[in-house]
Amino acid sequence: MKVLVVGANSDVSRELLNLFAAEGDDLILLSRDVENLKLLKKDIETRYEDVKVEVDYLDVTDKNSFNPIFDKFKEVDCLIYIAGYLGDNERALLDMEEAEKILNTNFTGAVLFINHFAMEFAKRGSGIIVGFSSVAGDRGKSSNFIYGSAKGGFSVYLQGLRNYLFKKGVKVLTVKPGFIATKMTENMVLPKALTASPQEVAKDVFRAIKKEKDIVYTKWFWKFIMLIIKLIPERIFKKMNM
Amino acid sequence: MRRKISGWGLYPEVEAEVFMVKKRDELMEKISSVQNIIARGLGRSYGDSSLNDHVLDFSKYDFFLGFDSEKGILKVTSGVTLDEILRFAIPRGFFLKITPGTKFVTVGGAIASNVHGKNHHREGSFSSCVKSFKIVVGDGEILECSREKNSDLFWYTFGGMGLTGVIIEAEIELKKINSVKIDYRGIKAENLDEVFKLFEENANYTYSVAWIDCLKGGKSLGRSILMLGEHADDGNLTLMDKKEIAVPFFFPSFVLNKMTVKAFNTLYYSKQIGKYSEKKMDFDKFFYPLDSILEWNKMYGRRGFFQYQFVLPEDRSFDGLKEILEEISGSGYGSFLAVLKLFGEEEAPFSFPMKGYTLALDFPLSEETLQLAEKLDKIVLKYGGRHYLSKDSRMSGDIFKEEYGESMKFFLKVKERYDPGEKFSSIQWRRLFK
Repeated sequence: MKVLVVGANSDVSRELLNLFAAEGDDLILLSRDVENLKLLKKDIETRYEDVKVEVDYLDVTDKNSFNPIFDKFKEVDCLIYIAGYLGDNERALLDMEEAEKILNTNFTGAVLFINHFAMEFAKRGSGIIVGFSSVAGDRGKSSNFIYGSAKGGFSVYLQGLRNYLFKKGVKVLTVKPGFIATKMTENMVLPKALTASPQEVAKDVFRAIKKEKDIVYTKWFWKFIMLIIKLIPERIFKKMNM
Repeated sequence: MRRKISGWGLYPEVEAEVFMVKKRDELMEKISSVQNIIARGLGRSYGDSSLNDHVLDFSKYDFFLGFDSEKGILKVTSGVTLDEILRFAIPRGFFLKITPGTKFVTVGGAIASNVHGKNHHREGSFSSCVKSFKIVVGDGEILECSREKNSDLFWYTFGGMGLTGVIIEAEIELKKINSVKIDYRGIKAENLDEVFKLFEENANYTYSVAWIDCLKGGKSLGRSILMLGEHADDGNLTLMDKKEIAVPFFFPSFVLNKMTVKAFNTLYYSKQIGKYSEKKMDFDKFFYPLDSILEWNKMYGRRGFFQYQFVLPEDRSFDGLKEILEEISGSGYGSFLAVLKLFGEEEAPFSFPMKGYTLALDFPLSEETLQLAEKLDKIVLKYGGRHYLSKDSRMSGDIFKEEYGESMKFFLKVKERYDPGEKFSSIQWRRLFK
């Protein structure tokens, strides 16, 4: 299998790449930071001699960087979109650049990039698309609703895409992580019991891909946490400090 | 991000700005922008060696950069752990040439501490498996060091406790093995005299170490079990997936007291029934008995503990150890884990090992044990011995300077050459070298 990963420099991505490499899958790594990708390539090719790793530049907020990638990588079996940008909600309310970066990384860029491969996969009648959304997309709350709305939009897109591609033999998996201890959250104080390590998230996602699941929450109990949060009536929810 | 950190002994604890190293350019920028920097791996040195105002955390800078399977030479970034190397090497028929008693250390840390293992008398300390490394020095330049190139910096970085610069990459040599198992032989020794004799008689074993009951006085002073090992040769290179357990919380400080330590020591000594015991052992159990209990340092309670490791010159080892063991058993503050080992010659000029016997002990932190340690310091000094900086959190600068004497002066010259502005320092540096 050939796996293409968008946002390959993230902590979760690195764990996920190791799981694929251990099975002998070839990898295509995309990110803005090609230098770091090269380091990752060396690392994977040293640990797993029979795995071939290709790296290339991609900026998900700049659709001009997409076409060279579409032209270069034709044979992909599994596309994983893991790029994400949390941003600063307060700043994004005042600063259009920040808001745009959040929306483009988490939603617009994701849709535009995935569309291409979705159509290729549909034509061929096979393939797997994995999109990293977030529990933040399940209900808008005051602390991060710009990020949340982009992720919510992404979740709906993946949902519709799954429906659209079902008859064409293409699988779509929506990943909804809760808290993860990563670069993105290293300066936040997270509740230890609710926080997953990148390894745990990668294992959950890998298992969900193998089992051809539609949606996976990680850690698993977030499914129930979000169920409860979604059940709170809006007139009460709006008064809560979340 | 500012947070509280400590070494493995949980003492001292300080607030520091911890910078996660992920990319080389970010690292270089950080080094050029602040003073009082120290690199840190997994924080397994016991005391204050990896503590400073600015700490570079290398635990996520763990990339394999290439492996020459003909020569067994592995190139890695400095945050790669010995655990990761073993997982990589064993299925390919290789093993670490030198390993300390925990695999949860980084390559950078192993170089800075110049760690040693159960085979020091045969194969030396970590320096003997390092072909070359890259280090960032005080002016921000990256220097490649080996026995041929920048050899002064190469040698004084071993045991240099991160004070000569920040190690970013290294090439290390692995050794060939043909089994994950160790052929183990245990021999009981009734006293210090006997264990010395046994060490000398068994010097041709690759691995040797003794567990010693330091609460026993009188005729049984120094009763111990000598543990010997060789790599087995059965062709089995399959790694078993093991579950580690963690100490879930800080034990109340009364758990480890004179009574329980005494009971433990007696049980441990009696576990082996006959004089000799032979078996095949998993490498993990032989080399890393404590690694299966994650965070075992919490056993000593919240106040933490300190390790006490010293070495005495071979010809004075017996008298010195006798005096020290008498002092300890008289005080009643027996160490839970006491380990005795005969070192061979040491090639690195500013490193802890020397030809002679080394004893490692740990004590829960208290007024009484700190006083005991100061008494022991004087005995170590009297016999011409020295302490292991990676384990030290409490020694005085005067004792250290006398112990390391000339070699410290040479070290300071090399430091002056490569880090004249004292960009790299640590709390230990200020405590001992100043």
